[in-house]
Amino acid sequence: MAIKQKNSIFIRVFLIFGSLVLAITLFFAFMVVPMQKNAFKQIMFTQAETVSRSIVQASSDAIISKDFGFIVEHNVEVLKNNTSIHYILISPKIGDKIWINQENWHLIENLNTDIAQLENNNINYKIMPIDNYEQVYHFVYPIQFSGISWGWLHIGFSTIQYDKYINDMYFQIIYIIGISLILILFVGYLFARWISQPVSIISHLATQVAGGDLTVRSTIVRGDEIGVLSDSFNQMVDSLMQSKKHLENYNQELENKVLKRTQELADLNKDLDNKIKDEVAQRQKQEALLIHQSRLAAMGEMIGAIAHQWRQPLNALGLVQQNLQFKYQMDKLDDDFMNQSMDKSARLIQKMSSTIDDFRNFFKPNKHIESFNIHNIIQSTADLLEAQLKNNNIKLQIICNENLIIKGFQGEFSQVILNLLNNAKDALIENNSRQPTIIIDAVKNNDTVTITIKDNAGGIPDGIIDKIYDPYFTTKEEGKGTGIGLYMSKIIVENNMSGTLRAFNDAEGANFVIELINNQD
Amino acid sequence: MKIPHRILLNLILVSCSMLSIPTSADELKKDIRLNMGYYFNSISERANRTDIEISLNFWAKELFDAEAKKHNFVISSSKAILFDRIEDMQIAFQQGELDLIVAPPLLISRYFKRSELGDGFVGMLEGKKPEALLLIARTDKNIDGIKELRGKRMELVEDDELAEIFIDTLFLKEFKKGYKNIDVTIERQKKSNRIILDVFFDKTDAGIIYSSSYTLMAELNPDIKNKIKPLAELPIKGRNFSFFRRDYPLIKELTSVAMGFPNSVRGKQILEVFRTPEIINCKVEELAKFDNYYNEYLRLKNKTKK
Repeated sequence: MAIKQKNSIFIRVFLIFGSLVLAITLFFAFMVVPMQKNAFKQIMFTQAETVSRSIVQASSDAIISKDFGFIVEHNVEVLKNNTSIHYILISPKIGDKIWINQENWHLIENLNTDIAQLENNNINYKIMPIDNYEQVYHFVYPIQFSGISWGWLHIGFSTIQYDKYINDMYFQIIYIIGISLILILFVGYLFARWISQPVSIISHLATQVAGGDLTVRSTIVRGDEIGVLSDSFNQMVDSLMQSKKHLENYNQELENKVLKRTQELADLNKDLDNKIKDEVAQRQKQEALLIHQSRLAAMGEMIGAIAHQWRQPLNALGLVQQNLQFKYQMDKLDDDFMNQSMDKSARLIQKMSSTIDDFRNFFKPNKHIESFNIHNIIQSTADLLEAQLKNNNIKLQIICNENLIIKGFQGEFSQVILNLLNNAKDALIENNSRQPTIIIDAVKNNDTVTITIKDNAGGIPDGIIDKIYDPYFTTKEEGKGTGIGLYMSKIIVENNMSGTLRAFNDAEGANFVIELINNQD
Repeated sequence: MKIPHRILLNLILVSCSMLSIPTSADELKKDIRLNMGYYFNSISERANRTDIEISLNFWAKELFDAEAKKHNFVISSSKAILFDRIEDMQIAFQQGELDLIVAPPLLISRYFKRSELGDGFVGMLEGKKPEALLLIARTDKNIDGIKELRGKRMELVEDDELAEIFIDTLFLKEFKKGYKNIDVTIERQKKSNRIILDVFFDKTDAGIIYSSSYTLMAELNPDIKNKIKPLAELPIKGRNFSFFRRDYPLIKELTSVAMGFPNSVRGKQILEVFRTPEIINCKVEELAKFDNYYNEYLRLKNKTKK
């Protein structure tokens, strides 16, 4: 992995070291500046106090005796010998003040407010502009003799020296920072290199090792952790080299084994393909058989149903014949009776014929998707079993909106309904249920259409409820059930109509729920 | 404002005396000596003893050495001697120990023979204005003449005989008596400037001062002219005159060097010490004016005694 320049140890150590030294330097500079300023002010204060005390001492006799001539003469001389003093102001408590500067002197009656405020019992000073001087260190020294306040001595010092101190200080600080920066760059470079160089060397060697070159060795010899790291690195590379040799041997053995196993697997795979093909073919055969059986079962049931449907009209037709025969024997067969009997016979025959049409339509191949009315399909399917249901006193209740339409395989859907109705009918008959009832409830939801076939035959036994969709599983007597009805129904609903078919028991019996996608806009 | 000093002239002359002027292009005057005598009381107001000694023995020597080379002089020795008593200075001059003397003109006229003196130099005020003695008084004391000085307070410069003679002459003329015999309170100050300040601050009512001091103090505080007015004046050209020994060989040459003193940096430094901006030459004959004034003073005094 390539190391980004900014992430290298050298750069980091260099930056950390440099930042630390620079921060310390700046911190001390920051701390020193105010201290130095105070020190300079203290120097100014001390100088001012010394000059003031000197003037007062030299002029003490003159002050007491009010020898202002001496005071002026002395202070003019002081000013000539001290160019850093802009002016001297002798301010007695009573009388005119004497203002002396480098060019002249004069008397003034009142002081300006800024200066007058500084006159109290303490030594005061203030840096401020006075007259033509932009900035003056104005020092006020109270003149007292034997505890008696005589007045004040004001001295205006030039701040040039103070400013020079400050400027020199800033220059020195900048100089120190500049030197520090140079030292930081130089020492920091050496320090960072001292820290990072062995690590970089070992890192470079490690990269070579990682690239597969196990001939490299570290030549760093030091008595510290880096030295230990160097030795350890060399030992590690030695170990790696040995391991590599072992690995190569193992690898060779493994490759041989893999080749052998690969050949075996290839052979096995070839057999497996054949077996799968055989299984698939067998499965297809079984499914074909199953479908065939399903058709046969359906046809058997159709025939049974037709038989049931025809039984009543056949009986009625027999009765018509018997009545005709009886009338004829009684010689009471007239045209009207004959016509009535023929009409009745014709209606019965017509009904039987329509029954055949119904069954034929039911089993008519219909393998294309179309929109159909669920209510009509349920009703027509129920009609097929009408006779059997009546014979067993089974009440069928259909709850369905007559306009409920979906798209799908209409014939297959009819077959599912027929299977479920047949199962419910057989269960009701088998369990000899009281007031046997089948309820078909079709409900349209937002996205789905749910059709529930519910009976009150007591339900599916818990032990078999998980097996009812298995092919060839049936609880019916031999010859009455094939065990493929529910299997085919589930296949039709879930594979061909993208729906679900599930069953559960309630307190009365079994509930089979068909849930289809509401695909009809 | 600069105050002329003959002392400065003397210093310059001394310095110049250390230079030797060749009589021809190829001949250098060697072993030239310049011993200067100063009457210290007359110059102490302008500069302190240390400054004078330094300026004469170091700065002036350095300057004269440099100037000497320009003029082909070779200075063998130079010396400045400060005298507290004029009589000591007179004796040293008579014994040939001094080549130049610097003193107030009245003292020179009284203590030195004309026949022994050569021409010399005198320090002048700025613009070569002459010095003068002034009798001043406060304007608020109703002093308009000498006669109003009776009963007043006066201050004179210490050890200044000319000032003493000046005020005494004025009193003799007015009162026919010397000032010591009139009801006047006399105090003495070392400096003329101080007398002006004392008058200004009403410590005294009148005083004898030099015009250069009055001009200087008025420049420092113009209000002085409002509070102090001159009552009488005695023109004296300069407070101190400098004269060479008559037989000194390099009078003209050293005078030439001294006249150029204000033109060099070191020369200006020396003049600054003595607070005189200009130097001009002076003749021995100019002492006659002081002789006459002194004689007139003696006449008035003797007249009073009679």
